[in-house]
Amino acid sequence: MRSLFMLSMLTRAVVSCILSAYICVHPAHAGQTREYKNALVLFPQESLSAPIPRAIYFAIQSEFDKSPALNVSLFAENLDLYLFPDPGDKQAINEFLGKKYANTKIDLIIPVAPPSLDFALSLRNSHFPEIPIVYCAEVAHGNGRLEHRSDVTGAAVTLDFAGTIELARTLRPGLKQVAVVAGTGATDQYLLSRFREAFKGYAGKLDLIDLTGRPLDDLLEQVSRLPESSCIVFLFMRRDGSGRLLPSWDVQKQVSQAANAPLFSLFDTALSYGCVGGRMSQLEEVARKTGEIALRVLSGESAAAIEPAVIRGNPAMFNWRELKRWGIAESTLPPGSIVRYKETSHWGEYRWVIIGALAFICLQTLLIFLLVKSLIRRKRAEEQTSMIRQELAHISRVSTVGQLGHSLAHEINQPLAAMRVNAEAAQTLLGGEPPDLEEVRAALGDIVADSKRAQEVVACIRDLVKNKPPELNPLELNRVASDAVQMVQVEAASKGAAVHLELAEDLPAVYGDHVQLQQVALNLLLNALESVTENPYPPKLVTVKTDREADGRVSLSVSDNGPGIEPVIVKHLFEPFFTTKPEGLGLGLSICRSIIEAHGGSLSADSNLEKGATFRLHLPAGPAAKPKASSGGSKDAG
Amino acid sequence: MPDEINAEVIVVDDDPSVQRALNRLLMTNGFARRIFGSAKEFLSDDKPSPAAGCLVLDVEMPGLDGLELQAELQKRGFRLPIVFITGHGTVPISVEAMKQGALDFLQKPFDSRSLLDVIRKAIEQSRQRSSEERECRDLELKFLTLSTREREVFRLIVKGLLNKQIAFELGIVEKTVKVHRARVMEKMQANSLAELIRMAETLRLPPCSSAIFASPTRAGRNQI
Repeated sequence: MRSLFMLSMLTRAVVSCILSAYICVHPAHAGQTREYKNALVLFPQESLSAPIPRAIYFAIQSEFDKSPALNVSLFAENLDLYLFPDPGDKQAINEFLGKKYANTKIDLIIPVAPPSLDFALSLRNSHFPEIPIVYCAEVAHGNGRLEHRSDVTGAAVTLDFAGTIELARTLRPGLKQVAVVAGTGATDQYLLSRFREAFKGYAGKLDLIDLTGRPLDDLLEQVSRLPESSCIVFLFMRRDGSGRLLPSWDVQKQVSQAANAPLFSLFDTALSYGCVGGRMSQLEEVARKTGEIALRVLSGESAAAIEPAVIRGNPAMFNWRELKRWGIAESTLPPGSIVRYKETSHWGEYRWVIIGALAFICLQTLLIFLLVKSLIRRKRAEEQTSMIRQELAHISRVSTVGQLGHSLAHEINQPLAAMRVNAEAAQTLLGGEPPDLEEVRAALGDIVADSKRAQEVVACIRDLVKNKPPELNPLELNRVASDAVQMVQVEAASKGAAVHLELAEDLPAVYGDHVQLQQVALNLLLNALESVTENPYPPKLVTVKTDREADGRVSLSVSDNGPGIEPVIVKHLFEPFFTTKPEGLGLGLSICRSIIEAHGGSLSADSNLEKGATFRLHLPAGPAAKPKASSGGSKDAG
Repeated sequence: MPDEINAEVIVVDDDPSVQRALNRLLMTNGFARRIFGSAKEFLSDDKPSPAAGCLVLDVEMPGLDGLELQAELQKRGFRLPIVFITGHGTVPISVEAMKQGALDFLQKPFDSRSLLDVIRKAIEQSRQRSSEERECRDLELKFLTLSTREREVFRLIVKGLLNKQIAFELGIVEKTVKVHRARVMEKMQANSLAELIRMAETLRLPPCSSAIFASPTRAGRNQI
């Protein structure tokens, strides 16, 4: 979330950079046809640092900025009329301003509040003749009659004391007392008198706690000990009971903080200083209206033609934080209430983003979970397949051993025969006079050698028959080829076939399982032998060849001069259960291929140019070509 | 086993171990022997085959196998008795071998004594045949010394005809027949009519007979 927030900030920064760069590059665009005007806004008692003058000033300014035709500079002056009430002082200020703006052509004066209007009129008479005046005032001043002359017009707000008291009663159902806070300044007193007037309507319904004209410390002490069923109405406090000059907005804030009852107020600009709410005079709104009228006058419209505007219908406005503080539910607010300063939590602001992101994360998690699950299932299936393949390979090997029965018996009987003959010869030799011990020793040596040979054959058969997982070792393909040829030699002879062995020299080692590769070689050889026996006449030739390929791989090929492979069959050759033999299962070649592929190699079949077929397997050479392992496979069985 | 006729045992087996073992066995038992690794090697041997002896053949060999070699030797008129040894004999193969006149068919691993017994039997057989052949050849040589008339008289004598009948048959006088008869007896070195009849029978034996007396009747057992 944080990063999202940062991102949006960053985007904003970039956009504003680009915008300002654009404006810098095209200054003429902004001011080319705009006329320059100067307006002077007069505040009666506070400078721009106070919330009300500041709000008014910026509202007017923003209205001016909207004009496509005029470029208005807005000057602001604080007249401090209540601090310097003496006519001589007023005159001095009048003179001062006259001198101050002697060299600045003022096109319009905007007095804020009636005292400023009076001042403006006198100022105009003495220094700025015939300059139009557009004021910003309050309706009740001047008994509801708004100044409207040939060159004076303006806008005004209404103050709604009764409405604010009524609002307090609505929000605090048990309300019995209203504490009114006001200072001793002119405005303070003016507002107080208006309030008292309005409060008369509540005589008997509400008690008034008068907290006016007190020193600040005392006031703060009093507001902290108000009765339970009370509220505060803060009017204005420019000066306290001790005569100290104070910023009213700051006093309001301090009072609110010290108070044990909610504080109501009358101006929207006061809302953010500890005020829970009220029927607010829309100062910003009236300032904007003032600005709008001022602009029309500046554009050349006659002030006489513009009726003074009145901003009515003080809306109920609330400070969300204060509502929280006093436990006032938003649902109890009157319809059409405006709630400001709502703390927008990250949740509130980014709810959909958060929900979206969470949903995304959840989905992703689910997806990952499913993927992992399917991966596990797949792995399990692969393991099972591998086991089945190994089992098949084993069955196929056993079947091969069965096919080789004749040869294998021969391979064992041969050394056994030699051993027996040697042993019996040795017995005879020992009976001689004198016994030929040298020859006996030689015979015994031969027996030992033959027994080893028989043992090797038995070990080889055992390996082929045993069902064990493949083991990867560096091995010589030449050895695999010659061993296989040796094993089928008798088989070949009995079929009248000849097996030729052509071994490449300096063949690099391959990584693989000796038994499995031997199985493949045997399978291919037996297939080839079976194929050549279909030849009615000799020669019945099978050639086993090892070679080093251009791509660095090593190959072992078994070719025969049998009838060859029909082209239609070639693509099915390695499919499981495809067989051309009546008694075949069709697994031999498919198992062979799976073995070779598990070794990272390939197995292919081709018809020879002249006659017969060639089966060729390629294996990667060297330790770098370590295959992924797994699988078993046996040959034949086809 | 020394003898009037030099006997030799010929072994053809592709397996070096078996070769060495058989060589040792035969040597130990005093047989002259020749060992070959393949049929081809044996057939291309320059040395004349021995008058007597025995051929020990392995059935399973690359190139020409035992049975094929047997057929080839028969074609070439080779007559030594053949003993087969096999690493993995099957009934059909052994039947075929025996039909083609093999003396015996031994399965590896075999008892040496059995092999030696068979070899001895084979040598005995070949020797006997060898001496019969020599006798036959002697008779043939004697027979060739006879004149045409004497051969006619010889034929009629052994047919059991009296001198008078012979004279009548040949259209000559009886006295002349007597002279021829005495010559025949002398040239054939026959002491009696019975011996002469036996000689005539021998001469008809196919191995020693000339084209005139060729007859397959007694072939059978002695043929290679």
